[in-house]
Parts: sequence; structure tokens; C-alpha cells
Amino acid sequence: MKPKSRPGRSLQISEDFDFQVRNWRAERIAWVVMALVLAAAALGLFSVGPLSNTSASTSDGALKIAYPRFLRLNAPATFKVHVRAASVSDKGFALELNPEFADSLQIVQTLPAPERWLTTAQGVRLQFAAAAGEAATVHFHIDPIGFGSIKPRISLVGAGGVDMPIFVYP
Amino acid sequence: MDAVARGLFIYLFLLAVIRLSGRRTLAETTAFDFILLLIVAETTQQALLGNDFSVTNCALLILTLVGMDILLSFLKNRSPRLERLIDGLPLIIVEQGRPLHDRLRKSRVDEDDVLAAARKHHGLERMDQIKYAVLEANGGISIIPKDDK
Repeated sequence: MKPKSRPGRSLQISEDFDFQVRNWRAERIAWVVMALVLAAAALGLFSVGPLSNTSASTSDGALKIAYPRFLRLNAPATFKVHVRAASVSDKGFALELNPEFADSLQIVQTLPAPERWLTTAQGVRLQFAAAAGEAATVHFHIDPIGFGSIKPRISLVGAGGVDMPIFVYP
Repeated sequence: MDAVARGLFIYLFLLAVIRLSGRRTLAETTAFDFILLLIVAETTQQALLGNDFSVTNCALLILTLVGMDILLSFLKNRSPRLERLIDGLPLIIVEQGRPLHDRLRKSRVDEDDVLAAARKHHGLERMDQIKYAVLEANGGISIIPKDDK
């Protein structure tokens, strides 16, 4: 921009009032956008909040999983896996994780810890001890290791599985 | 790749946010501006490095940030439009001792700021001794005193 002076003004300055007005307008719009982003964050659009919390279950209700729909890269989160009482035998129960689970999420800990970890053609199987005929809950503390849309799946061996469509923010 | 992408994103994001927040008083840093700067720096640092504290990551990041700086200064030099988009333009806020209230209000600068700059740089006492006050692109206020002060 070439410095120019308005007639009657001795000051040589590259002022452009129209640009300045557009600039102010852009600032105002940006503030509104920032406020909207913060409001969305408070609601859970960027993980942790009502928009993010969700649950899914198999059609017969044998397996129910509460999980966050939105995660952030390297930010720990928890899946709560409920197994119906009728699905727990005297040998306990087994959960199976699909390969995408292992590819996209690191399991920091499961509570309780499984008795055995097995690899199967379908992925990874975790065998849990449990009191026969009593409902069981397993907490998966996980840490996303990749970002984008992922679809981990947890199945109850002998019953169905639940897909968890999740978006991981970078 | 990861380090470069992180560096690029954070550089551009900070550039946009700082520019659009309209912090035109950055040159006159108050105590709170200083605190804000510290907190932003601390917050940024975590996301920039991620879990990778290797020297390689550090070197890549520094190269990315310095590279962006060189590239932008080069582009700004070639394109005046880009320059004013990124740096903004100076704005006259006092003319012949008369504060331009609409401009002051929209820039979130008040008459006291102008008088403070006038005192500090020229030892002026009153608004009517100021010929021009200009809010510079870098956020500082320049004062041109009237000849007959």
C-alpha cells in the first residue's frame, strides 16, 4: 500500500478507512465465532459434556456400553461396559475387541483386569472372572493414539457386539 | 510430518486469533497482557510438543516456526494486500486536537491512552496540543505535536 495523504492532511500515512471498517467487522464476527466455539465446548462437542456422552447396546440388551462420542488425541477417557446378569455364566464372560480398537485406542487399564488376554481371528479376547448370574461392569480406561473417525467394536462372546462410532480430535 | 503439521497449525491459529482479537495495544503491554502472553505460551507449548520430547521433534518445530516466519515476511513483502491483512494498517485517531470518537471506540482505545502516549513521548499536557495521534499497525500510539506547543 502506497502511503498517501488526504487533501488538507499533511500526514503521509497508508490509512484505508474502508479496510479498517471491514477489519472491525471481521473482528466482531470472529468474536461471535469464538463465543460459539466455547459454548459448543461447554456442551461437549469437543469431548466431555452432554453432547459427547452416549451409549449403545445390543438389540437383546445383553451388552450395553456408555462411551464418549468425541475424544481427543492422547486424552484419556473411559468406556463403561455393562453385561446383563443372564449373560454371565460360572466361567464369567468374555469380551472381544475388533482390530480397529487396538489400532486406534491404547488400553491403559481395564477394571477389573481380565483373567486372560487371547488373540483370536476376530481381534483380542478378554476373559473376565465374575459371579455367575450377576450383572457385571468393566471400565476400559483408554487413550486414543490416532485421530479422525474410528469405529471400535466390543462384542460379548456368545452374544452380539456394539459398534462405537467415535471422532477423535487431533 | 507430525511436528511440521502441529507447528503450522499452531502458528496460523495464533496468527488468526491474535489478529482477530484486535489486540491493538500489544505494544503498550499492561501487566495483564503480560500474564496472558505467559499463559498462552505455556498452553501452546504442550500441544506443540505432544508426547515427543526428542531433539528431532524440537529441531523440526523450530525450523517450521522460523520457516513460516521467513515465508510470511517474504510474501508480505511481495503482496501489500497480504501485508495489510496480516499486520493491519495505521489509523488516525486524533486530528488537530480533536479526538475521533467513533474510531477510538471501535479500536477500544480511549482518550487517556492517547494522552498517556502524548505525555510519555512528547511531554504534552492537553489534547489540543496534539496535531495527529495515530494508532499504528503494531498497536503503539504515535503522537505528532502541534508546531506551536
